[in-house]
Amino acid sequence: MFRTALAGIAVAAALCLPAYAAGSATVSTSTEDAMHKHDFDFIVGNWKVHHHRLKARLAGSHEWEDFEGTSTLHYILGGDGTIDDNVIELPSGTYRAATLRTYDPKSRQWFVWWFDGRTPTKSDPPMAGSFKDRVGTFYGDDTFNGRPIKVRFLWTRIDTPTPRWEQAFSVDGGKSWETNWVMDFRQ
Amino acid sequence: MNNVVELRQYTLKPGMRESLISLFDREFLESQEACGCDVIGQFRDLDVADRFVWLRGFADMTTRGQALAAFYDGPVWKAHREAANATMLDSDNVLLLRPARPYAGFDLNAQRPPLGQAAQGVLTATICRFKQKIEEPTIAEVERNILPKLEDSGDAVLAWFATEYASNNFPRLPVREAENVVVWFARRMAAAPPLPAEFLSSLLEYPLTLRLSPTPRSKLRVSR
Repeated sequence: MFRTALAGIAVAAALCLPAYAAGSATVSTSTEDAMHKHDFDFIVGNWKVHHHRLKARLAGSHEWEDFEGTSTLHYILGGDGTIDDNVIELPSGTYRAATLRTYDPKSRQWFVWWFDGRTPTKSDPPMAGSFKDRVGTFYGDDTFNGRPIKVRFLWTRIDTPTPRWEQAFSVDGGKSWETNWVMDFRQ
Repeated sequence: MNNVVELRQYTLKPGMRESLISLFDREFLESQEACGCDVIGQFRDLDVADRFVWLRGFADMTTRGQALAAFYDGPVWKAHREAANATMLDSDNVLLLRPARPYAGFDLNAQRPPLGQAAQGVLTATICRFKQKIEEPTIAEVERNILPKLEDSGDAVLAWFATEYASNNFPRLPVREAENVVVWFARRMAAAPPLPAEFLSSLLEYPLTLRLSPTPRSKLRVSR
């Protein structure tokens, strides 16, 4: 029902805007344009999270630590955004953090802002990316201990009951990556 | 990139800090940079009323020697040195530093704000004075065990440094000799994390953290 109705709207739009590509192409594009509203269906709701985290990043370390947490996600902006609220039980003390994601129809990308509850006036530089073949890939630029880095988030296993998020840093412009944080979600 | 950085902590005569800041922001930024110095940032110490702190960087020690000679023998310093020196009690508290890792220094592309801008944000400088000479094991220890603790507490480390052991090639301006320090600069948002006892026992004293408020024209600043 939902997609049929949308396709109808797209046809109407195509008729009004003949300057754009031919009707059928426009219909398919516009249907695609709404698909992102389902990108985060797999992670909506309340989750328990197992964190597996590299103790020291970009330091040649292979020592990991494990801890627990929770995460709750819901859509905002009529499906063009999500917000999640996280409790992260770090060994040194629990903190909270939230992710805001917004969809940009022009670039067809999600933008991802991470807010640390202890630093409420700051956000890390946003990440940008999308889902393809059931994998979400997001990239951004940041600095780590003064060093420019590229950051990559991956969402995998999204069609299983235990989706996984992971974070990696690169110091060589994305040629090689060090994964430093894995979150396994379960309900 | 600055491979040599001076952390300069000046004790001023009571009530003279604002005079020095206004002179410094007006006269000593572009003029030093024209000589090959990079004035990375200049700050009020929020905890010591008469303390002015600034950071000066150089490409390397050779550049430092040449740049300081060019500036301190040049016309701008000559014109304003009496006014500057009249604000100061002590300008010898200087640590000579190098980036702890090749990419750990300040690399500021920021445009220097014009006069009349409001000061922005607060950053911290934490000075750890070690009993022993700083070599690779100490750097690795800080990188693996201390910086992650700062990050977990909500700090963002902006840059970190260790003692530069090259001898002072501009002896007219003293530096603190026989120091073994690691210094990190951070945007602090939360309380300082407790540091491991083993780490603290390798230090001469508990780490000193300066809370620094950038002056209006400081290139190094943090957004609120």
